[in-house]
Formats: sequence, structure tokens, C-alpha cells
Amino acid sequence: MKFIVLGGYGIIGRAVAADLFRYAGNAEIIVAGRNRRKAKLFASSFRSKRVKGIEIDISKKENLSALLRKSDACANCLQYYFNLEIMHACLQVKTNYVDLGGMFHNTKKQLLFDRAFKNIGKTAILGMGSAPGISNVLAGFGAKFLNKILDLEIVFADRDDTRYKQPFVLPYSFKTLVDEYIMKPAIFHNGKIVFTETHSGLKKYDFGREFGKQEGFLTLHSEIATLPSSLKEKGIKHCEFRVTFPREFNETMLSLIQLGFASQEKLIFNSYKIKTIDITLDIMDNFLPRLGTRIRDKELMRVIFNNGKIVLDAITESDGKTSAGVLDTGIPCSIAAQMLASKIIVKSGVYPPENIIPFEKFFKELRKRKIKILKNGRVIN
Amino acid sequence: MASCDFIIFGGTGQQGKICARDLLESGHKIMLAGRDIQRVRDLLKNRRAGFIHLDLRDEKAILNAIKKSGAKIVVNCAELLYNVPIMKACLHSNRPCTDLGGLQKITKQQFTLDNDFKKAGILCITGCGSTPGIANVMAAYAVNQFDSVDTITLGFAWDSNLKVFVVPYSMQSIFEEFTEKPVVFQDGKFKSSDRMICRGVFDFKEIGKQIVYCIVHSEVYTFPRYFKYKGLQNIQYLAGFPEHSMRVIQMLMGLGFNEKNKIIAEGMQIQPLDFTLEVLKKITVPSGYREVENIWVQITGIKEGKVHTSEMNCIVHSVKGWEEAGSNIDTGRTISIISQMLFNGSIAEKGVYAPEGCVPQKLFFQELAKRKMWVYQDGKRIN
Repeated sequence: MKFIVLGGYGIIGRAVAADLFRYAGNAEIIVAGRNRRKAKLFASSFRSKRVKGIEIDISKKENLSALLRKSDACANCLQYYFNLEIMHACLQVKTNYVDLGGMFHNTKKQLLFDRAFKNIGKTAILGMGSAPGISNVLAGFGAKFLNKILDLEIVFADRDDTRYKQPFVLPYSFKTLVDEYIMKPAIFHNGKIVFTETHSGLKKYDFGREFGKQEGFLTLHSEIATLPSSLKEKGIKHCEFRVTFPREFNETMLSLIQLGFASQEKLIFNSYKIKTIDITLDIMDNFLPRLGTRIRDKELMRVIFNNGKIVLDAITESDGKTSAGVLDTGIPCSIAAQMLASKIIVKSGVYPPENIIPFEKFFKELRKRKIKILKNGRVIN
Repeated sequence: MASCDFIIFGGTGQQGKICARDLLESGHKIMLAGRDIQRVRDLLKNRRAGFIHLDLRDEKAILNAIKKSGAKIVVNCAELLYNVPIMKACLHSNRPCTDLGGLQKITKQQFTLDNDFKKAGILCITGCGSTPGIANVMAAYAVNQFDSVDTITLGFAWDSNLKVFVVPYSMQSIFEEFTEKPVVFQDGKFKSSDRMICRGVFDFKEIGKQIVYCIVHSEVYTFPRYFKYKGLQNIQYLAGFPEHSMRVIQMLMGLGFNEKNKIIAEGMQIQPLDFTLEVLKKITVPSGYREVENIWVQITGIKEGKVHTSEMNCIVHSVKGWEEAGSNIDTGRTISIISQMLFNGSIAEKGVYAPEGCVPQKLFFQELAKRKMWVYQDGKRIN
């Protein structure tokens, strides 16, 4: 088996590659990215011929096709803006595809590739991280227990007991975080997709002893692009997605955005025009957890049906080196890629996770990686 | 345009624009010198205003601009980094000048040019805004009434009706004030103090309770020069920011947005500080936004044989027609007042001075009152 991990030395790419290395038998793993040195350095950290680091400029289509050819699955861990291009390339060389989500709007466009993937007999799974990803699978699984779904609510929360030696910590890429704060959230309301104001729909949650009380806000997520139609038969009327962040973190993000640091406007430096957000990214990505930090966090993904009639949780704990939020995003992507490569999933076409992932098998795989699934407070995997 | 009365360096910046408007409204001809003409389009609609494109990093260009403008007085509203180069250009062109202050390090450098200015027979007044500026003149006014002075504590406090972040004054100065170790004058000696020591909560006239921080400021350096003959032993400077503003300043500093070490961004070497200043320049004042500022000086000493404390306050509200400037009118309009005093010959001294050493107090307070900046002594309005 051969896997290509695009963005393979990025935060999530690393977790995908590490999971593939550990669980995908003797598979060959190619970690590919813009920077040859970083790719090679990360690949060499495995001390195995099975993992190779390769430089790839995805704007060079021929090179991309050459890289993807003869692979069993491509795990796309790049920023979601590139999803369509990568899917095109996979179609060309007839390779299975899995990604981490398309922030609603891209997901809609990606679903239009269904016929093309069916024609080549391959599968594309969209949004296979934690959320989207585990959240979709939980939604699909939970629906089995209900005749009718009135409303579906997804929320995630984190508890971080790490002693950081840095003044501020980003849980994941600043770019993705900014998008979550500034893009108008979509909700499924009374059977229709509606876009609301950014940072709206504030709601307080009590997650119990482990995760405490936290406040969430609505954010644009691809679950809302697929779940309403996937669960149509159950008569779903409402579906919303919220994120929760610690108060201080939330204030910092909102301040930076209000001050204009996330603006697309171009500034002139030494006669060159550079987008404001791009410079901010270079400053802010210094606040991702530093390598070597002993991380002690856990993450909760909660899916609530019919106002609490059924509550499904996925709980991930950090392994000390990698944060829970990175693990629960990278692991599902790796599991899905392995299911595709080993033909556990054979149905061709483009699918959101809830329509293609075998629930129980997936939960078992999660359990191997110490990710617990709970139904109404009881562990079920 | 024929020779003008004033050339304003930093003329396209926040204070430069306020000063320019005040000078124009006083009937003067002015030349604005700066990098971005777009920022002063409105001011340039006035026929008495001209523009010279200038990058202050080019020292020769400063001298050329002064000569080309034919200005009688040089008004420096630029960042303090340019105070000394502009003063040197004034010496070469024999023009008196004013500026907005140099905190401590630069102010010290500026006073080393005192003899050169004396020899040239011209005057440089450094620190002509609100504080330094109004605070210094108020201090001089009160100090005169004492037999001896032991301690001066001074500073500013401000607040706004809408709790949104608006750039309070030069962000570069704010970052420096909160990163440089403050120097206090203690028992007759300058001493380095711990940075950002919170000195407690003060209750300010028209502002209410506010947390104040000890910061570096030029008054601590200049007051002993003029008031030591009264026995002055202690000075400290305390800054008060409303919580909503302080939170943003501390957040930006905590994340390194004020760093001067260059980073590589999109293949370019960029100073985070430069970037931050550019981003914050784009913040606009929301409609309905109002500010109030209290510039205060507290003097303790002996008066008529008894221990006495006197408090001076200058209260500045947002003024109708000047809403966008908020309480910053007390900086930009004040340098305009002092520069006009120089122009009119109301100040005769030669050399390098701080305002407490040369600005005629009553005349100055009258000019403040014309601009709705009210001066109080011990709660009683005096202008």
C-alpha cells in the first residue's frame, strides 16, 4: 500500500503520517510539502525506508499527478482552499481521496465531483478530521436510534492543563481560526440553510466535571453542508455547529480581528504589497505549541440530538507530545485513508463521512488510539 | 505658495494634522511634510496649506524641506526618533523649533544641543503637547507659589464613552513607555525603577477610579532642571488607561506586535512594530465616540511655612467639530499654541528648553481656554 500525505510535515499532516506509520502495516508513506528540507527532516525522524519526504509545488500539475500516481489514497492535509485542485489531480490519476473539510462552501463544490469519482471507480471522503469527521460519523450513528430528528447540535470543547512556556497558545493554524471567527456561519433552521452574523448564537454549555462550563458561538462548518441532506429521511429541521474557546483566548482573537490584523487589505513595505493577514499569520503561527512542550490536554466532541435525548461524545487525550486537537483530527483521516486503501470502503463517489464510514469499525479503530466514544455518558467502543 | 509661517514634520500623522488645522484656523500659512499625501487631502483644500513629500529617514531632505518651505518656525510632530535630526537641520537653517517630547533618552540627547542653539540665537522647545506640554506649564505655575517643593507626582488619565479601542496617541510612544524601564527622581537622584509597577488605583476628576502605571516620561528628566532651586527631591510619572484600551495594548505587546527584531513574512524582512503601526493607522473613530482626558500634576512642599499640597488639572473633552481627534486635541492643538507663541515673539529665550522653563503661563492658559481645554487648581477653574 502507498499513501501520499499532502502537507505531510504540517501540524495535522504529521499526525496523519505518524498514525499511518504505526497502523498501516508495511505501507509506504510519502510526506509531501512545499519545503524539501522540512519534508526530508520529518520523514527521517521515522528512521524507516517506508517514509519518504518529497518536495511538491501543487501549482505544477504534472508534478502533482506524478506524485499521486500509483498511490492507494491521498490524504490531503493542506489548507482547504486547495481541495478542488487536489481532487482534480486524484481524478486524473485515479486515486482515492480524503481531506479535512472544506469550510461549508468548498464542501458544496467538492460534492459535485461525485459523478466523476464514480466514473473512475474511486472514492473521495470529505471532511475526515475531528469536526468535520468524527462529528459527522457520530451524527450518522446517532440517527440510527431515532425515528425523527428535530434538531441536531454539534459543539466541541477543550481542557488544557499544559504548563506552556509561551505567553499565548494557538490550538491550531491561525488562518483556520480566523476563518472560524470571520466567515458568516451557516445554520440549518426550519429546514433551510440560513447564514447568520459572525460570532453570534452565544450559548452556555455545562460539559460536566471534566470539561466544565464553557460558552460557544456559531461558526461556519462543513457538517451543515452535508448532514441536513444525509439525515433528510429522519425529517431533520435544525442543525447548528458551535465552537468553544477559553474566555481570554476568545478576547484575543476578537481583538486582533477588530483591530484589522485579519484584513485582506494589502500594505506596502519597501514597495511590495503584502496582505495584512499574511504578515499576521507569520507572527501568530509562532504561538502554536512549541516542539518539546509536554502537552496535557483533552478534547470533547459532542453531538446532541433532540435537545439532549441522545448525547454522543468523542473524548481524546493528548499523548504528551501531540495535542488532543491534533490527534483527533489526524487519526480519523489516517483511518479513512487505510479503509480506502484496504478496500474496507469500496463504494465509489464523493461522500461526507456519515454516508460512507462503517460506524462500528471506525469506533473500534478510534479505541485502539484511546479515543473514547460515549453514548449518554457510557463508553461504547 | 510664498514662504510659509510653519513647516510641520510628521504633518500627515495624527498630531500633525490636528496641529495643521489649528494653525490654519489661526490664519497661518503652513507646509505639511510627510510620506502620504492622501492622508491630508482635506487640509490641502485650504489654499494656505502646501505639501512636501518627505521621508524623515533622509536627513538631507529635512534641511532641504525647511529651506524650500521658507518657514519661520519648524513644528515637529513626528515620532521622537527624529527629534535630534530635525533639531540639527534647524541649527543649519537657523530656525526655531518645537516638538512633542523625547521621553527620557532622546530628551537628554536634545539638551546636549543647548549650547549650539544658544550660540545660534534660536530656541527649541521640546515637549509641547499635552504631557509633556500642558503638564509642564501647570507645574511651573504651581511651583512658583511654593516656598519649597519636595515631591511632584504627575500623569494623565482618560476614558471614552464607547469602550472600543481607538489609538489613544502615538502607538510607538505607548509601546516605548511600557517597555522602557521608567526612571524616577528619588531623593534628588535619577533611579531606574521596575517596569510597569502598578502603583494602585487613583480617583480622577471627570474620569473616576483608574489603575495607574509608572512609566518613562520626559517631565521626570526636565523638572529638576527648572525646579531644583526649590529643593525638589522626588518625581514620578503615572499613566492611566481605561481597561478596554490597556487590555489591547498589553495583548499586542504580549504577542510581540511591538517587536523591533525583523521577521521574514512572505519573503520580506518586516519589523512587527512597523506592521502594527500601519494596521492600527487604519482604525477609524466610531460615530458618537467621545473622550475625556485629565492631565494632572500634584505638588507637595512648603507654602507660607506649612506643608501644602496643590493639584493642577487640565480637563479636555472631545470638542464639537474635532470629534475624530478625541482628546488628542490637547497634544496637536497645544503644539500649535506654543509654536504660535514662538512665531509672535511671546517667548524670548534662546537655547533648548522644556515648556516649564519658557512658556508664559497665563497667556498659555488663555489660549487653552479658547480651545475649551480647562485648567483647574485645587478644583477651581483658572482659565
